[in-house]
Amino acid sequence: MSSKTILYVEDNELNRRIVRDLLKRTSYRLLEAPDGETSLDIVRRERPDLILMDIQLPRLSGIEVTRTLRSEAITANTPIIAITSFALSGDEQRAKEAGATAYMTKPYSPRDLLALIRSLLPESE
Amino acid sequence: MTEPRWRTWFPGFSSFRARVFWSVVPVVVSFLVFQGWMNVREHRRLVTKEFEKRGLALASNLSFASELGVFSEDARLLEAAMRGTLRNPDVSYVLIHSRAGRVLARGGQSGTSGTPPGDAQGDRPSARQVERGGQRFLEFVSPIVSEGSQTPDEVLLGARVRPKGEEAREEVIGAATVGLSLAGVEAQVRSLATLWGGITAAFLIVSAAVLYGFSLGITKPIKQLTQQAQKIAAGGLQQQIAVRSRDEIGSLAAAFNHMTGSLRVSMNEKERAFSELAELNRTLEDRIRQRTVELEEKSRQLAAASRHKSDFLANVSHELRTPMNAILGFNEMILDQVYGDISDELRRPLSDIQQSGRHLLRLISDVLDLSKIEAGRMDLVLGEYSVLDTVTAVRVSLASLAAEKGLEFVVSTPAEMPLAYGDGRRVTQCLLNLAGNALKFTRQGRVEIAVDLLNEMLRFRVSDTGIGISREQIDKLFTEFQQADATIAREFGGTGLGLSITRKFVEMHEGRVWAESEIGKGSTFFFSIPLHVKGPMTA
Repeated sequence: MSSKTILYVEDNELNRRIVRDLLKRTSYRLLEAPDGETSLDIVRRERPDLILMDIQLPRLSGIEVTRTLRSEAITANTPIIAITSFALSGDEQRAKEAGATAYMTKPYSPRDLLALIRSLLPESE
Repeated sequence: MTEPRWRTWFPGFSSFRARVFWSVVPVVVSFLVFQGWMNVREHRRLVTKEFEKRGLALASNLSFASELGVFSEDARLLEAAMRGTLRNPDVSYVLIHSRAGRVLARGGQSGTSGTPPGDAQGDRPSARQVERGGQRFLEFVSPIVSEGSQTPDEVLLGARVRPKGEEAREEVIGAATVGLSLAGVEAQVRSLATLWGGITAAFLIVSAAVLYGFSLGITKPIKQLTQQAQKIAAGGLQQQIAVRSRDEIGSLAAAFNHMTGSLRVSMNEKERAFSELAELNRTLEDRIRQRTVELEEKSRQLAAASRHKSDFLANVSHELRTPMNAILGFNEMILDQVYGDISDELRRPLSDIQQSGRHLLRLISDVLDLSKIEAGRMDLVLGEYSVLDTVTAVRVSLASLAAEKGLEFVVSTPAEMPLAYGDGRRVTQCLLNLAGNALKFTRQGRVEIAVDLLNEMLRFRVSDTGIGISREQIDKLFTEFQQADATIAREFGGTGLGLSITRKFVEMHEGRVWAESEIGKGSTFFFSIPLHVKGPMTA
């Protein structure tokens, strides 16, 4: 399988469906995790090529998960796009400090998100 | 006040009793002394007069009795005549002289060698005071008269038998002298004076005692009153003065008792009023304390409520983003034909949904920002930022809106600019707010964004050719934002929040915001901030 794998960590089903619909017509394979703990299991098992990480997660926050992923050898260089909910709250700053590659502010434009994903992880030809 | 000099001389004069004493006693004493002196003097006069009378009578009698003895110069007869006289206890001595002054007979006290009476030559008896041998005597001299043709019968019988019309042929043949001692009189006078002195002294003592008692009767109640007044002054209102006398002092004491009673009553009333007042005070204090506690609790509740409100707004704002994200996300994907082709008829309303959604999102962001500012939780995130990037970002995000309205949208910036230090996102937000408003209120013409740097101060300028704003409205926009908020929001479509947030962020950057406008010609909004803000600022 040559298609690239993307993991979307997000607790809200509606938001997950947006990305699901967005990536349906692309060659990307999408994995979904509703919380931080599950996401860590999936990352270790599936080794995704890119991670979309919502910052506002129940229990283990996206910041903490990002920090954990960066500390592990297999995900140390995996692109992580942090999705922050407070546009001007300083979350993006913290996400960057935790090791996120880029960030999108919720509500995000699916169009812009896809463009960002493509710039970080080109679709396989 | 210095004591008058007389008081130092008479120290006892100041008390009432002494005053009474000293005002009465001298008068009484001088009266008694005067009276005594007068009495003694009068007595002496009367006694002396009586003495004289007696002496004269004795002398006269002797002269009669010794007429025959002198006439006959018979000593025996004379002694017989004198014997009767000498029997009188007051008689000290008796002398009988002849007409020539020779002593024919003498009797009584020895050593009384009488001198012949020099002036007893008249035919009338006389009296004089003489001093013999240190003693004082009252001496009476009576002439011894003989009638020339005296018959022996006449002489013997002592009677004058004379035929009528016959002229008397009187002749002084000697003098009879009787000396009465004044010692008796003087002793009498002395004893009288002594008696008067005794009476005076006794009276003095008695009157002093009486006066003392009397004044004691006056001063004792006064003293009592004084002590009473002092006790009352010291607070002892229960004191009562025993009213004994029916005089002025008694009525004074009664009045005093009455006054004390009234005082007691009024003091009791005062004390009751005091205690009532104190009770009221306590109640009031309790109430105040209670109210203070309540108010503090209210204040805490209000502060908590304010915090809750901010937290609530933040939460609401966050919760709103999830459905907003879904609405805008799905709508955009429809527009982008992720779900398949869409007709041109559908594209128009879908675009409206997208635009309204973005507007709603901006309002939500503004509300969140404002609630954070009001709660004091708005912090600037300081860092280096590019002013040119800021302007570009604003131009990019508003270009489509300008194009839709057919407005000329111009950005004029210097070719190069140093990096600024501050909260770049907030500065971008401020410029976005001003430029967004400019585009909104301009129907035709142009909107220009400009920035320049002068004296380390960045000045952003947004000018339009829109409807313009009156001077009053401008003042309201910036100074009466809180009150004018709702009106402005209604009037201009919810831009009030953006302006006030802009002002707040500019002020947090230690800058200022202002506007110039002319109705119908357009407006120009400015804000200037330091190129480098000094430190982290909080609203």
